[in-house]
Amino acid sequence: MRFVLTNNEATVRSMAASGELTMSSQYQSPDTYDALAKMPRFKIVRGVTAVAFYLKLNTKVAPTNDVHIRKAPALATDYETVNGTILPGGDLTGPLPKTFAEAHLDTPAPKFDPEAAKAEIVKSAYAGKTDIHLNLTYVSSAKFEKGLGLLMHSNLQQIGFKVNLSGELWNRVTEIASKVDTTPNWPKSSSVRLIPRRIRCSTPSMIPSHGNLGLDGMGAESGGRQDDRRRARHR
Amino acid sequence: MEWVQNLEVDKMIDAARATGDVAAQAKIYKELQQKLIDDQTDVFLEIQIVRHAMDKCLEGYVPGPMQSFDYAFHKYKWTCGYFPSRLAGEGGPQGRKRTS
Repeated sequence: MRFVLTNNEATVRSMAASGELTMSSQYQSPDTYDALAKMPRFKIVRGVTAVAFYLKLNTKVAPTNDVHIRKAPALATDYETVNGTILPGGDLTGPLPKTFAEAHLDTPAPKFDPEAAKAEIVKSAYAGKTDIHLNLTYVSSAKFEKGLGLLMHSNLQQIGFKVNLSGELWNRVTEIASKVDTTPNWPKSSSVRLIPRRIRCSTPSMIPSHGNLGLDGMGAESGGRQDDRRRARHR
Repeated sequence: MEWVQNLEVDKMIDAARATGDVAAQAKIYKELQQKLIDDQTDVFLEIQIVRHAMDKCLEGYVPGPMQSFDYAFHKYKWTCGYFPSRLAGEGGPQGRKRTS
């Protein structure tokens, strides 16, 4: 077995064409998956995850400290384009993915509705102003983040915001997001991997197994305990 | 990055941690989700669908939703007679022969 580390999509396609590649990573661009799917040698396998993607909004700085201004970008998001083209994924209706069956709140999926977005701005403390500025930042090395940023830039400009879009390196994003005042209105899109603490999963296959009865037994016993000292001992 | 500082949210999290009743926890988590949706702390975009391009001769991958690295390589198997091209030192993908 040989692992090849590369962030170059052309290299992945080339290795697939030459026969060197037998399995891609899960982080290829949609274009690369499409290209490999057209090669007779490859199949595309898919799986639902517990990873949720959010557009994080700074709730403490103007103008996104106003809940109506925060609702405007949610209504100005073209979910179909995002989920279908920019970063193919499944529906997320709130903070928790459906994977957490027992705790998931079943709410209607958010909708792309630019007119409703404009109505939210009218309800805000910024109603009537023509210079409502939003600073949007994306991680420049992630192709899908740039696509998402450009889409949101266009949609938000159309409903009246003045948008400053900038791509930054990941370490710069973590630096500016370490303080309230320097965190942009939209610091980045972000994936949040949610790990169940003691919520039962919807299917047994979601519970990781080490294939070792001793370890699995300790994990099950630890997971069922409230006593953190006992849990720590099992870890 | 959202800088949510909300006593109501904090109380819900503490209450969920304080009980061993899974149903009671789930109820609190649902209330908490509604609170975050009402406050629109984030735009809730999507759930990641993990994808891999795999050679049709390679089988055994099973997605593990709760695992960030869900590769049980020891369970994978190669179902064809020859490895592709350079791995086997042969002439190219077209030179492979399937056994199944």
